[in-house]
Formats: sequence, structure tokens, C-alpha cells
Amino acid sequence: MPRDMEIALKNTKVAQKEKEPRGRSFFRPWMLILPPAAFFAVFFIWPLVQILAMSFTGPQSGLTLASYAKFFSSPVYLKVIATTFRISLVVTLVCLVLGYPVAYAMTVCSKRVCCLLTIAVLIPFWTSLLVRTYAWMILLQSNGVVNNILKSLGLIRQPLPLMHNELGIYIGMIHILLPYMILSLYPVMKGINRDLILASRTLGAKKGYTFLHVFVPLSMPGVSCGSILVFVMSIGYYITPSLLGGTKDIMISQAIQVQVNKLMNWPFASAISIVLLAFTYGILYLSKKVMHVQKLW
Amino acid sequence: MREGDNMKQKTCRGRVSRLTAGLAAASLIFSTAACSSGSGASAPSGSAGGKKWQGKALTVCSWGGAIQAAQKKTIFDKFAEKYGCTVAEDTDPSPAKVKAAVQANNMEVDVWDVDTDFAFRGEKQNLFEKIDFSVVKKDGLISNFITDYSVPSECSAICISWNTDKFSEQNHPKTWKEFFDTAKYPGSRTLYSNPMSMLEAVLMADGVDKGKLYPLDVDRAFAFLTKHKKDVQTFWDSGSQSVQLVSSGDNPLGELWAGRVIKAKEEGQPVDYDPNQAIITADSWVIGKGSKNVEMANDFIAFATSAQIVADYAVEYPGNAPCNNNAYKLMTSEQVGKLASSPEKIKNQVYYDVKWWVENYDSVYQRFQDWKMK
Amino acid sequence: MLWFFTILIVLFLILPVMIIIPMSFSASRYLEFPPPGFSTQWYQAFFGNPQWVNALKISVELAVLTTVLSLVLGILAAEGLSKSEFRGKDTIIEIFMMPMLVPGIIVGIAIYRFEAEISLASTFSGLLIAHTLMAVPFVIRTVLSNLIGLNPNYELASRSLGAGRLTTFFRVTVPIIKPAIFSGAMFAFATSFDEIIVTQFLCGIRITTLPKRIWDGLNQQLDPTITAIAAIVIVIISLVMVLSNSKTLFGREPRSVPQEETDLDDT
Repeated sequence: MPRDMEIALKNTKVAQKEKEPRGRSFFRPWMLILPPAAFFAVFFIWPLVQILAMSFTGPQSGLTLASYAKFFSSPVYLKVIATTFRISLVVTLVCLVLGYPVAYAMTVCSKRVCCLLTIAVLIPFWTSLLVRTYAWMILLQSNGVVNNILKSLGLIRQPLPLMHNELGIYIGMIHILLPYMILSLYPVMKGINRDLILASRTLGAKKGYTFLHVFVPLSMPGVSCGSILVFVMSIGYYITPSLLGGTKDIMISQAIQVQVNKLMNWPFASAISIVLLAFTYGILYLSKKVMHVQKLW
Repeated sequence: MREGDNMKQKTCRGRVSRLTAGLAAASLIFSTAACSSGSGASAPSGSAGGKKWQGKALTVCSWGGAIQAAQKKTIFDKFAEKYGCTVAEDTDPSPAKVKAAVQANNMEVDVWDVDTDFAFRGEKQNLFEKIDFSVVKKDGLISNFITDYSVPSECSAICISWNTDKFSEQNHPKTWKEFFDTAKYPGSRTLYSNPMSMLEAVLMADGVDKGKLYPLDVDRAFAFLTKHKKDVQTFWDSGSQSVQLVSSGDNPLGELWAGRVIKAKEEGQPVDYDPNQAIITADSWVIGKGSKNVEMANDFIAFATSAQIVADYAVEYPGNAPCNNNAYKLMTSEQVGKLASSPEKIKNQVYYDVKWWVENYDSVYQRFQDWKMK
Repeated sequence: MLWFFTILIVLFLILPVMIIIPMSFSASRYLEFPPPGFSTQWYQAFFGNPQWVNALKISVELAVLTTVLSLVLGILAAEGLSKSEFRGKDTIIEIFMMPMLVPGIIVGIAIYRFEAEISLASTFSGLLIAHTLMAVPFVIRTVLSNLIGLNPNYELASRSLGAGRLTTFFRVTVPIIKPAIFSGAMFAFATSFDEIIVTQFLCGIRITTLPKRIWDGLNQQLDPTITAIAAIVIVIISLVMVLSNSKTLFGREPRSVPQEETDLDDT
């Protein structure tokens, strides 16, 4: 650092200490938060509060818990929550297992390969979710590409049921969410100080040992951040499951969608939404406690 | 440090001015946005002429795809020609969308082609304008489907359909009972994700006489469905999906709209249908609450439901059946033979009871939804 | 082993997207692969239909304005948050992250209801507001983590050398966090350009975005017209990304670029 700058720095610190508390400027940095906070309060928080309020309304005027009673008294909806949870969990784990090596490869390869890999991850990320789901329909249906290839290779006689079931949901959702996982893992891995790896190696640790005991622990912030992001995003999915899934595995957003679009029962839809929201934040809270995640962003 | 203070004040002022500039820019964004949203399809002020709605634009929302293409050819364009106006089109006349437009007090669509049961239900929610029956003539229209707020636009047939690679004209389920007979007709099934028409099919499969369907024995229907749930792989939500499911062979048997099947068959897809035991439901024309062109909308509906136009449409899109019985007189017997439903075929088909469904739709649909997730 | 696995996964990611391109030249109007014949009919159908073209136009306009607006709001928030300490700051950050985490359908109903009340539903501004809400978290996320990792001395030095806050921000801070701003902008653009769940509530007949048209298309009729526009978008994205990285991709293998000042933004 240039010498004059250092002096300047020193001066600044002094100046800051002296001046800031009683500076003439009426400006404080937190004021910058006001415009976005106001925007959020009006167009996000207030509408959510209204949804909360609506969930306590019924056909008659006055407050009622009827929608919640309906939700919790019906085993069906608890099952839907369980299904949602299960699907999200599997999607998250598979994304982690698939994403980790890719992100790792991106950090160890040459710049050119890394760039290629990034592009390969970003192209699907940028392609419309609907279009990708459509592509999977082409691939997975019983006379689709995958089945035809397997058939022509003589591996199968009857087409495999690859969609209209939970497998279809998994394939579609993993494809859509995997880039999020990789993009969360990569910067953390990239930021890991290589000297630590080097140190471990020079101290005699084997490659595998170093990887498991030095690299992996250091990459944990990325793992938890990516996992939570993917998990929470998959909880809210409904377009992909409804196009690639079957009759049995209905996710909770699909249940809300039916209430909104088909039955026009908005209070009940609101109640399901509030439960879903509570569920989502419950998971976030738990994961913070258990996984010691400091922040999600 | 004086100079620094000065600087500070200066930049303060700088900030303020930039802030205001930013605000101005933001408001500009909003105002231009509002402008661009306001200047929609303005009707071209066409050549002079004494036609009634010269230079006006009517917006109609229908089902898209082949149906709407046929409607455009035989109804919208003809109406535009006769009245000198333009017809702007939208697709997807879903209840949520109608309700949204009413709630937003922003009824951009004048005429909607909706499911008849929704035409009945929406009336209660005050979503439509009253039909002016001094303009729209009830003569010949199927009377079960007329309300103060709606008239039928066409009838559609929900019927047994199959993949022709797996089954044939001779060898396919001809009744709903056979439809659920997996021993005789192996393979998975797809059903319309809508209890309306499905429960009728199920009850007929369970042996209820078609004349004694209503009031529907919902418990019995669900008991039967539960027994056969394992054979049903998918519940389809959209017509396009339904054809895809059957023609791809994913679900070689389906409860499908005849119209979709006929169209796909024409295009060389391996699907076919049997009109026997089809359940005939209907669509209705309604005028959106708050439409700014109510008078023109009434003229449109009168035009669209007149016998000749209905006949022309039925010839163009034989997958559905006319809602105006007078239309049959204007068609050749060959043309009538192609229809999914006709006075001849209806003997083995059943009209759904829209009144029963209006009373029971919400509870039955909710029950179906819950059952599906079980 | 690592490379084998990586290549498999990358193929899994990229092939299903690339399959759209041959599909878009299909002569069949149903989902068939390989396509039974070559035809440009879906491109003609797309560009011949003002509804599709208009939807594309609206989507692009919307995505651009969303990016601008969410950058302004997101950077304001990030700058404010990184430079101040107060109780409840974490809560504020979490609130800013909410649109990313709250299931889309809930955001959709909530915003839709509210905008319907104030007559913003089915307008361009209404969509812009909703998309901006969805995009801001991505901007804050990228910019804030960058700002927090930023060595404060650079800004302090700039200030003490006489530059004002704004000058410092635009001449010192912005250049340093430019990559974060850029990636925030990319996320914002992508969020808006692809958003469907919230959008489907807010579209009107005159204001319909491309994803909404595609969604309608999927519902009404599995119409390969969507493959035409999807193929165009995929090709554009690929080209943009390849070209913007052409130095790395086609240049000589890195002459181990000196680390310059990039250490600044390590977190």
C-alpha cells in the first residue's frame, strides 16, 4: 500500500472518530435502507399480512379458524406436507451429491475448462423452466428419447416408466435446481485458501485425507447455503411436479393452486399458504440451529 | 478540515440532486410503463361505412388451439365483417382469470367462452353482466344451459378414447364398464382431473343406468374410483396433455374430449374415440362484469348462437356438438355424422346435469382433490 | 474419476436443453424425437403471430427495467446494510431475502390481491413491481456479501483524501464490486425473464409475458412454437456467454495473470 495512502488512512480513522458522531451531515448509512425497505413493506409485507388475515375469514363475516381446522383435521394435507418434505429432501441431497464434484472440478481445473463448465451450468440456468420441463417430457415419455435409445440398444423391451411418477418429478426438479447448488458451492470452494491444503500435504497427509479433513470442512458454508436454498426452493415447486409427476405425489403448492384456480376458495388457499410458510421458516430456523448456518445469503 | 466540510456539503447537495433525478427517472419508468400498457390494440379506424360497430374492437377469450382457430374462422371473422369491427382474441378463460379481472375492476375481455358450470357458479359471485334476451334469441338453444347471465356456446363430449397402436376399432372398450376392465384391456388409464363428467362415467361403469345418474351417488363413485385407483396413472389438466398422454402410449386408454381426439386423429396421431356413453357437457358465452362493450357483446353472442353460424362452426370443428338444435337442419347428414354428438348419438349419451353440479361442485371437487392425494 | 463424473453431470445439465434446438425444426406438431422432417414452420408461427412477438417484447422490456430497478434498490439496501450496525439488522436482511424463499404461489396470490385492490394488476407497472420484488434478493445477496468482504480502508482512504461519499461510492466502491453488481444484474434479468408463477396471476390480455404465453401454449396445445423461441434464447445466451468469455476460451492459456487487486473482494 502506498505510503501516502497509509497516512491518509490513519488520518481518516482519527477524523472519523472525531467527526462522525456529531457530523453536520444529516445522512446516516442506514437511511439508504429506507427506500428498499419501504418498497418491501408496501408491496410484500403488507400483502402477506393480508393473506394471513384472509386465512382467518370464511364465507360469513367475522374471524374463524375453520380453514386451519379443515387443514389439520384432514390427514390428506399432512400427507401432502410429508410428500413435499420428502421430495424436497431427496432433491436437495441428490443436488448436493451431483453438484459437489462439479463445483470442485471448477476450482481445480484450468481457467479455460472452468469457463466452459460455468457456461454449461449457466445455460440451463438461463433457459426457461417451462422449456426445460417440456424438454424432459420429450425425453422421458414412454416413446420418448431415453426409452427409444434403451430399446434400440436392446436393454429393455417395455418402455420404462420415467415420468408420471415421483422419478419424473425428481429428474425435472434436480435438473432445474442443480445449477443453484453449484453456483452456491463454487464461490465458497474458490475462496478456500490453497495454502491450507498445501500445508496439510506437506505435513504428510494423503490426498484423500486432506480432501476429507481439510477441504470438505472448509466448504461447509457453501454446502449448507446451497442445500438450504435448494430445499426451500423445491418446497414451493408446482409446475414441474404437475407436468412430470403422476397422480399420487402432489406437492403442497399444487394443492394451493387448485384452491386458487379451480375452487376459488381463497381463505383456504391462504391458510395452506400460511402453514407452508410456517413450515418453510421452521425448516430454516432448525437448519440454522442444527447446521450452524450463519446466513442464507 | 474546513475544506473537507465544504466537500461534504457539496456532495450532499450533489446527492440530493441525483436523488431527485433518480426519483424523476423512477417515476418516468412508471409513467412510460403505464403508457405502454395503456396503448394496447387500438382498433384501426377502417374504411368508412355504415356498419353498426365500425371501428370498434371486441375482445373475446376462448380456449385456444384448434377450437379457437375454428371459432375465428367461422365466428369472429364473420362477426367482424358483418359489423365492421375487429375482434381481439385472448385465450384461457379460467375462473381465476375472470375473477381477477372483476376484482381488479379491469375487464379487458368482453365475451368469455367459459365452462357452463362456471357460468352458473360465477353468477353467484357476480362476475357477469346480464344477457339481453331481446337481442339474443333463445330459440333452438339447449334450454338446460340457459341462465339470465349465459347462453350455451357449444357442447363437448367426454368420451372413451384409446391409442390405436394398442387397441383397434374392433378391440377397444365400448362402455365405461369395459374402460375400467384391466383384464380385458391392459394398460394404464388417464382421467380428466375434474370430477364433473368423471363421476358420471364411473357410476355408469359401476352399473348405474344412464337415466338414473342424478342425483349422483358420490360415495359410490368414490368407492369405485378407490378400487381402480391403481389403474389410473395420470389425471390430466389440459386438453393438449390428454392427447399427448394417449397418443404417446403412456396411458393407452383415456377419458378425453372427443374434439381433441378428432383433431389429433386428423393430424395422423394414433388416437381414436367412441361416442358411446359419452358425457355431454357444455360451454357458455358470458359477458364479463364491467365490460365496456356490453351492447356489442350481446350482438356478438346473438350472432354466435344463430343457427347458421353454429352449423358452420360445427362443420369446421366436428369434435363438439351444436348448442342450437336448429343448426342440425342446416347440415348434411354426412356432416352431422361426423359430430361427436347429435340427436341420433345422444340416445346413447348423457347430458350432464349442470344444476346438480352447481349445487355440489365445490364439495365434490374438494373431495376429489383430497381423494387424489390420499 | 472426478472428470468422468463431472462430464456426465454436465451432459445431464446441457443435453436436455440442447434437444430443444433440433425440436424447433421439427415438421411434426407433436412431441416427436428425432423430428420426422425439417421445417421452419415454428419460427414462422412465432414471428408471424403478433401475440408471440408482443409477448417477447414485453418480456425483454420488463426484464431490463426490472434489472435497473432492482439494482438501484438492491445496491441501496446492500450499501446501507454493510455500513451500519443496529439491532434487528439480521431480521431486516432476512426480510429482504424473503421473496426468494417464500413459495412463489404465495407471493403470487399476495401481490395479486394487493395489486388488484389498487388497480395495478394486469398492468405493466404491476408486473414490474412484482418482478423487482423477486429480483432484489438476488442483487442484495451478491452485492452485500461482496461489500462485507470489502476492505473498508479503501473507502476510508478515498474519503480522507477529500472525496465525498457519493464520489467514493461511484469511483472506489462500485469499480471494486462491479463483478457482484454484474452477477446480481444477471440474476435479476434471468428472474424476470423466466418468472411464471407470480406472473401468471398478474398478466392481462394486453400485457402478457413470454413465459406466460409459453405456459398457455403448454396448456392449450402442446405447440412446438415454444421450441422456436426457446431455441433462439438458448443460442443467444450461449453466444453471449461464449463471446464474453472468448479471451479465456480461445486466447492462449493464461499467462498466470498477476493477481492485481482482486484480493480485495475475497470474502
